[in-house]
Amino acid sequence: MKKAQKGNDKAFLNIFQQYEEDIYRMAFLYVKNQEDALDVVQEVAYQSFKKIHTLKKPEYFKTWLMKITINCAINIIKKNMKVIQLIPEFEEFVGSDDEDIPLSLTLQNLIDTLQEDEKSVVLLRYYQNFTFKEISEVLEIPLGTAKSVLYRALDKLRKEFKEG
Amino acid sequence: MSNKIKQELERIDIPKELHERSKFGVMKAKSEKTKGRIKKLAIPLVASAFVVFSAGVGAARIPSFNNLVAFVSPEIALMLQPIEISSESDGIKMEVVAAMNDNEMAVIYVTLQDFTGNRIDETLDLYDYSLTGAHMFNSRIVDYDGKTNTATLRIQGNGGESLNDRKMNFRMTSFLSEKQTFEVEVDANLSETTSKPPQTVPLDMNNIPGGGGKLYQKLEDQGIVQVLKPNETDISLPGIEFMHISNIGIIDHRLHIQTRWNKEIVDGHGYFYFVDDTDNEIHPTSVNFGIDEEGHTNYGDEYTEYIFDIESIDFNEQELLGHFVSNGKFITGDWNTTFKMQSVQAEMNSDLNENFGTWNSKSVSISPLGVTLYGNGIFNDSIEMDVRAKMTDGSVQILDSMTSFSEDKQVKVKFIPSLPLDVSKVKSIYINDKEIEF
Repeated sequence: MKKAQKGNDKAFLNIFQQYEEDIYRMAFLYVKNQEDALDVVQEVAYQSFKKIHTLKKPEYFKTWLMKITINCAINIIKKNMKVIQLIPEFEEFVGSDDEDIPLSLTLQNLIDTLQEDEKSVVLLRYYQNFTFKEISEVLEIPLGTAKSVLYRALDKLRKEFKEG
Repeated sequence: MSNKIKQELERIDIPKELHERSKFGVMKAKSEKTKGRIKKLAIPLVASAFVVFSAGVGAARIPSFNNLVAFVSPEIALMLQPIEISSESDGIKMEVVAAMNDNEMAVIYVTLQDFTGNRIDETLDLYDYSLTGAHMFNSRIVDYDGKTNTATLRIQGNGGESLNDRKMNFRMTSFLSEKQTFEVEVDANLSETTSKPPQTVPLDMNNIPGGGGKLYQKLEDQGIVQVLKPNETDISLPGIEFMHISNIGIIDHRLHIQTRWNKEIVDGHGYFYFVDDTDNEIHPTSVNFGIDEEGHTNYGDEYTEYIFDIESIDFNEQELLGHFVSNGKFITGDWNTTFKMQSVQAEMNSDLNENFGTWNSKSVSISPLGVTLYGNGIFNDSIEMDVRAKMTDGSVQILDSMTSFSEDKQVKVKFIPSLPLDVSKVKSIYINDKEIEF
């Protein structure tokens, strides 16, 4: 990692390689197609290598990469949409804090049902096994909001399941 | 429960090019980190009759030339005194400060000083110059003193014994400065761009200004060869305006990359090369030519075609990189001096049985002009060798440039210091950390 931080591209790539599939899959969930997801991976590689020297604690590398991934993916969506969809204000979601995920959930549900912020929380929580604290740090949102976004997302998925 | 989300995500197929894209992102960032800042000493190869390869080895910082002169023995210092009247043209003075030869080559040291402007800098390259009697040259700057606007150059020519004590003439009519060197990653998606056979045009190898590389002789023997039809693509390289890739394709199991040079740049030059994870470099053969108004090839240098043997490269395992150089200033004048060569025969020899991968050495010799290794095999110029001379006073002189005179499986490679070696004071030679006592 030290070598990578000093700008050794090979050392950096060796580390980055461990995460590229995760980054790709996460990106895919947002951008919904291979070409854009690959663009996200390239952009994450570009940005992270360019800024690696700013990462003060190497143990946060993964968290940091995920943050860049989410930002890049959302930027690409924005670019593609041209008209930026306003993300609704976070409302305090009052509901059950049940983390059960419907078993019949499909990839398509995840892609179609969830908004970007919900995807971020779901991915970080269930794909990357992040704690709420880590999620709130990566997404720069309060911990309570992270929780409520997650429960809202799960609720939507359950509804989707019922409707489907 | 998170397993379900993971399971679903695992269903997203990973495209083959994923890793390539990560790599490219990093390379892009890397190229921006270094763009325009890497300056390397380049050794231009002027038209050669022999296949001779020269390169700077390592990028050792050379201390001030005057300091070095003070440091060497009086005998060597004597060799470095001005030997003939200098020549001045347009406010720039040229002086030959030393001229000597051994069995393989001749070396002269020349200083250039600009009295009126800032036309000389540490990137100076000679452009048109000649040394009578020697038939192949290269020059490199060994020192630049910003206070006095003086550059010291070391010019090396082939000729060896035939130049002993001869009267020589060195003439120079142009040089370049403000050099910029670019090391770039080439984003050409080779697998795709080379998936279809390209259109080609014939080129008469007897009607071109030249080229270089391992396949050159073979191509020349062929007489008429096929090159890519010009201007089928227009791929520019990051930060480089003086050239672009004008076509890419595979002809007869060889990868051809054609570049077109911007006419306004006098000496844009460089090369493409492939590099693998272990830093092995594969260099191309190059052919220079021009194109007439009807699109037929002719004598000229607007285009260069770089040719790689396809068997030695793997698009997935190796990266295509480019090393290109351009110059901001082109200075002309007429500088001319005559002087006598000094033959330096004080050589020391020793047996040396070492394996260097593609060749084995048999012996080593030292002359003031450098350390020469002799052996058998195929010399591989991309394998870096570290050669140093340990002097009796404990100091170490780095032999930081290399010239190979190898042919027909006979290897003769010379490692050359910036300043002449005082052979009488050489205690031992280090070759890749192996010490050879003298």
